[in-house]
Amino acid sequence: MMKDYKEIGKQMPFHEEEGYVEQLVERTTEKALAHTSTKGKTLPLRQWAAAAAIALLLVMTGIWFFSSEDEPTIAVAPQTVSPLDQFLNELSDEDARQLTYYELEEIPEY
Amino acid sequence: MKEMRIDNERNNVLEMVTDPKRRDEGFRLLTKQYGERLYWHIRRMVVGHDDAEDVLQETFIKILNHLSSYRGEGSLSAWLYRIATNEALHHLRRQTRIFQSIDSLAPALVEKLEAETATDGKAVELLFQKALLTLPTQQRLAFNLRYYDELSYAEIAEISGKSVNTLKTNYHYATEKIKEYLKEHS
Repeated sequence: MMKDYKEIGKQMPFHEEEGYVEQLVERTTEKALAHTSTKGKTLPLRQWAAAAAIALLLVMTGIWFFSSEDEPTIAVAPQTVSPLDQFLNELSDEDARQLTYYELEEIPEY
Repeated sequence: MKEMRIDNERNNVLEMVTDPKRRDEGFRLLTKQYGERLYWHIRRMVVGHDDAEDVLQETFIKILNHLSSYRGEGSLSAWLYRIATNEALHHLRRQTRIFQSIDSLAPALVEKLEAETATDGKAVELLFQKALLTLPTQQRLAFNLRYYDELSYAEIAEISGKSVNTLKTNYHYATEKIKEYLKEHS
């Protein structure tokens, strides 16, 4: 007949060596104390790292800003193009060839 | 008299931990007084030996970091148990997938229990722990604190944030389920 659970008691089926839990408590206590003391020491280091990152960002921003300004330009007089040059430039290759081979006989007498 | 002695010890520890020069000494005294109880409470929740060590470490760090926030409202032991319970639940939650409940870890915890049970462990003790692991986490928590740690419902309410009536109901359902499980598997 199965016992009531209260009759089973409070013993756990897994056991630990004698003194194990006491030593574990001591060990974790010291680790916790060490953890909180090193945490206090690293805070300034983090602050320095954050400040360095911000400074680097500012420097990079400054470099980008100053390097993107327009180069100074030299004023150049606008070039004028003659009407004849403009006409010749606009001729197609075929038209230019016909001009080159123009013969006197083709001019009608008047 | 016992209550007065406990109060004196608590006040002594609290005085020490709030004094920067005596904080470390006070914390050592605190863990010496409560450490073993907290370990077994955690172990009953997370089952695994290595898991319990990790959770105890996290618990102690949390306690140390939050000592300044403890104002003496409510019992010191309930405050310590609450931190330990939260760390144990966080540990279990990290083993679940997204949207998965902690309760779904039961098969994995049973497996862990069987793996860590001593060869000379009594079969009935193992069966009892398996019965507990079938309970929803909140019922298991209420049962453990009431049965193993012998805390009052008022203290358990402080730890869990549940009302006394809810806890009594949880405990009642837990005991019924355990009895049924033991009957079916005997």
